[in-house]
Amino acid sequence: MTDPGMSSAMQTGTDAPVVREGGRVTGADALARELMAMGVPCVVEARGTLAVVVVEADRYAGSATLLESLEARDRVLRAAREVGFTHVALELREEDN
Amino acid sequence: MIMHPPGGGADGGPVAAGVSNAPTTAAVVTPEEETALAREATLVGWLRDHGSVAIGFSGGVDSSYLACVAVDALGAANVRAVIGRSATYPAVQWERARSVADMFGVPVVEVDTDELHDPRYAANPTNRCYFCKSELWNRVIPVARAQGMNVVLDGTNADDLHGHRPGARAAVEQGVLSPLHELGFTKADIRLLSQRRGIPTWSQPASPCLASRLPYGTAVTSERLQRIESAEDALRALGIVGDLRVRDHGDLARVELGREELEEWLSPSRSAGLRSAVCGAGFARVALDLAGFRSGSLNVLTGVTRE
Repeated sequence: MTDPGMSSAMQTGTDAPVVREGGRVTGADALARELMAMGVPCVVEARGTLAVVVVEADRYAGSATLLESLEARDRVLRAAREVGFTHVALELREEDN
Repeated sequence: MIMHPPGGGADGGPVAAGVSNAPTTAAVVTPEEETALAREATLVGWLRDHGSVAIGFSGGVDSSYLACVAVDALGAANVRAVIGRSATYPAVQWERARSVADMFGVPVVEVDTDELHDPRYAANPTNRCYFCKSELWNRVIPVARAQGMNVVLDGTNADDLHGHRPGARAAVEQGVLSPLHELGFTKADIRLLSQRRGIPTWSQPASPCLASRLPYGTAVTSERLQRIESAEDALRALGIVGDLRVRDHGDLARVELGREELEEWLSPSRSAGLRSAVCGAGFARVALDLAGFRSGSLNVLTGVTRE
């Protein structure tokens, strides 16, 4: 299994580059990038091999709705496994739209 | 120790509707049912060979089935269903256990267990279940002897020993027998046969102890267990009926739901209520696992087992 990232690793899922200082892309970075590509702007918080997806507040409702799709969730889970996560969880937020 | 007499007839024999071997419907018997019924016939013989039995009774699918068949085969006078009570045992599960026992005339004995005060258990090592089960059987076996029961049984089935199950070693060490495992009963057999007997646990989700929601290495405390139990009770009150686990990651609760309910609760209109319920139990943050419920999920997360 690859190292998904340091436990404190967080990376914005906006248009900011995901490559960290020193050129290292963590598993959290890579997963955030994949989620961004799917239309889920977020930060990914790595807790060991658990990835906690924290969606930007003003985009939460749309992102959560997108993840209701089994196909979308499978895509996220596959991407997460590829970078070493065993679990992915979406942090629940108040609807903000 | 509290002894509860069976809730049914006074002759110690079968007392409740649904305890007989008659199928609940007159449908054609499938090959699976035929196999399961043959196993049940073998189990009845096995129980009669042993004369009287005390059963570690949680009110789960397996021990409920075993207790009901034992009363049917031996009469209530020769059966004791022993419930071990502690903070790791959910109150809702106790209520379910008592309800099944009352319905089927199963005599219940309750003993308090004290695994939380065993530092080897409370430290939550990967073999935590070994210390819990050791404590349970240390309490149950003397009760069984005092009440004249010949053997002590648990509800372990043939599917149970594939995963990480250190608790099974404690049973073996203390001479506890596992007829459902010995005779090859699968979980599917037990659910099917329970349904035929009208035992309401037949469709019940698996319900391991509350400590299973804590990652290994996180100390097991009554406060943490209470927070988890409150959160799960609150989610049940919202209408979640299938598999459900609130995994404790400190400030964060990671909720696992059965796949059939996951999609519904991901919807923002529903997830706000879920979040509020779990936060109300004392968690600061709530996350919904995108893969849904996985038995032994924390074993995978902590690298004890692989997916």
